[in-house]
Amino acid sequence: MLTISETKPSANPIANFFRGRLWRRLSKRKSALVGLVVVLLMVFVAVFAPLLAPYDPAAQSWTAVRKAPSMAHWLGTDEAGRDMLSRIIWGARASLMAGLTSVGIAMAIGVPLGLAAGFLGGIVDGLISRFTDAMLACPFLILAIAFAAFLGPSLTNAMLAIGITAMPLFIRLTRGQVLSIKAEEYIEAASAVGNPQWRIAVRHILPNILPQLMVQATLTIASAIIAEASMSFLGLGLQPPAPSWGSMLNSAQRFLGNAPWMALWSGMAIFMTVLSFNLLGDGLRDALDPRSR
Amino acid sequence: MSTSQNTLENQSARSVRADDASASVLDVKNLRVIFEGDTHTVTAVDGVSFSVKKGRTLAIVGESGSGKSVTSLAVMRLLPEHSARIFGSVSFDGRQLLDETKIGMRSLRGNRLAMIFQEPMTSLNPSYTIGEQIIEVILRHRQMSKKEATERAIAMLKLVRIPSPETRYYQYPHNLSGGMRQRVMIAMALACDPELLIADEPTTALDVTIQAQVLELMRELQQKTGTAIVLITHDLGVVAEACDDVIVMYAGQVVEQCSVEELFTFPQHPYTVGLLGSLPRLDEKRERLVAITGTVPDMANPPPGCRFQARCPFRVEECAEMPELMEVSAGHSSRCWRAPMEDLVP
Repeated sequence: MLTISETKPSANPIANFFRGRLWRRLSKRKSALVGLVVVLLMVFVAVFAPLLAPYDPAAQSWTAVRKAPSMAHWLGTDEAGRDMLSRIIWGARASLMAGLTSVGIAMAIGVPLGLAAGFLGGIVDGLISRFTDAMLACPFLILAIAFAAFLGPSLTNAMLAIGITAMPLFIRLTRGQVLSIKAEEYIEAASAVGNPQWRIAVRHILPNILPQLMVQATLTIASAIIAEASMSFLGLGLQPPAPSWGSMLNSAQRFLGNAPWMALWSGMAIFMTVLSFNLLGDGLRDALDPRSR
Repeated sequence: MSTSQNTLENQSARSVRADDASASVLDVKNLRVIFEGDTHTVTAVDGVSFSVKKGRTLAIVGESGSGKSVTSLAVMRLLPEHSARIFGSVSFDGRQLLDETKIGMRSLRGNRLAMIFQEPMTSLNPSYTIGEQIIEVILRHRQMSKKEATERAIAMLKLVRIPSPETRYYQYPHNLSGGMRQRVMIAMALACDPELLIADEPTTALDVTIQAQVLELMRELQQKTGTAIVLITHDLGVVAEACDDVIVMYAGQVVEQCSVEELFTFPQHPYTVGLLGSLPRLDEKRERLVAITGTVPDMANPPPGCRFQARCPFRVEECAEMPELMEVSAGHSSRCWRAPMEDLVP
């Protein structure tokens, strides 16, 4: 008579609470945990930059130009005698801000548009999809640079440009996922219990595409950080003397031969952050999939 | 079918109860559903009429593509509006469903009209616990606090005999087996005490032992609540086990309409006879099951006259003209020129 389920039911409802469950599953994945720890560390560093940095990141010292790492300057100094460690710490602000804000912008516009396109279909879908195709036809970085050049060089404009450029990724992903979820029987069942259409879209379809969106978001944060670094490298992002990992790389390239640490630290910082966001993204994808156990 | 003997006894026991049941809960008259494609139109349901009384179960039987699911979706108004056009009259408790506004339909669906789908594995949303999904229906249609709704949901889970419902309430659909999920679907469908339950092949995806449990459960709950049930199926075994009245559909039309007892003892349409002949039986020795030769006609371009004639072993000249659904005896109609016939018994 009774069918025994293979999984042991948890007696405590709180343990089944979304965050608790997500955490339990995420913590089983070592690489995701490493990613999470590094990301949290970067956030911590960015938030408390003024307290953590041993020197003023913009203070120049002509007696300590391009010094190799030492006790006084742990990561060495750059071509104007500025402390590399302080600049890396302050640079985390620009990079994380650029990553989070631009992806925030991209999702805030892209997800509703994708949801509308996939759910409503017809002419709405036609218009949104053609627009998306047109934007995706241009290479990501080129388009972002074009926007940033148009808006003028500043960190805010760079973030805006990256956000707008990343938006079609989210439109396309959301639309595709909505189309596949919309065909599921539980969506028909949701209309059969009297749910209005908007509620089906927001309450029944959206949660089922969140895992994919989360993964795309973490991966896009990584590309956005690179894009911001590239733009700063080209002089379109954060303006000197404010430190950004990209602009630091830019100035370091002229001294690769005699002061390689200048490029190493900023490159490592970018690499580590991007890698940990990617690891976190992969881990989240597995942990958020309700079917995986 | 081994169960048909005691099923028939159940039938007569239940028809006594049904006699005092009042007017029909659902009255469908001359329902037509036309799908408009870019190149051609298909009349998927062509003049179907039936009614279901309180506490009774009506079976809609037919093979794939006979229009049985479309009929049920038309009643629920769940067909895509841009491609499906619905004509006729669907009256539910005196309300014309085809004239209802969207908001009016939404307040009925899940509340007074409920539906169970074929695939229990995919009919529940994987992102929510089963409890969340049941209370959503309750909160949507009843003025209740979340706590009361939770209690009601757990009571419903208990009613459909889910073991340890307090624990299951917090589990996700993937933690449950197919039979349990179908029970959850039934609990969800019955959560607001609907007057009418449409079950579209509710047991097709389940294995036979679970099928019997689910059918028994539905019958038991029907006796408690008096819900009218429309059971869509292609399985005559299910019909014998669970239903009071039957309509047999073929190519979008009703070809025979009668009580379950009549269907199994005096079938009056060659198609029904063919369906019964293709059932395995224990009381007769047969070398092979008899299949109905040929396939369902192309509905975009149905042949003139009787739609079954190409496959019919009893074909006569009149069949070139479409027969009407005619009463052959009290409460028994058939769409066949040759009905009533004595020699159609399979």
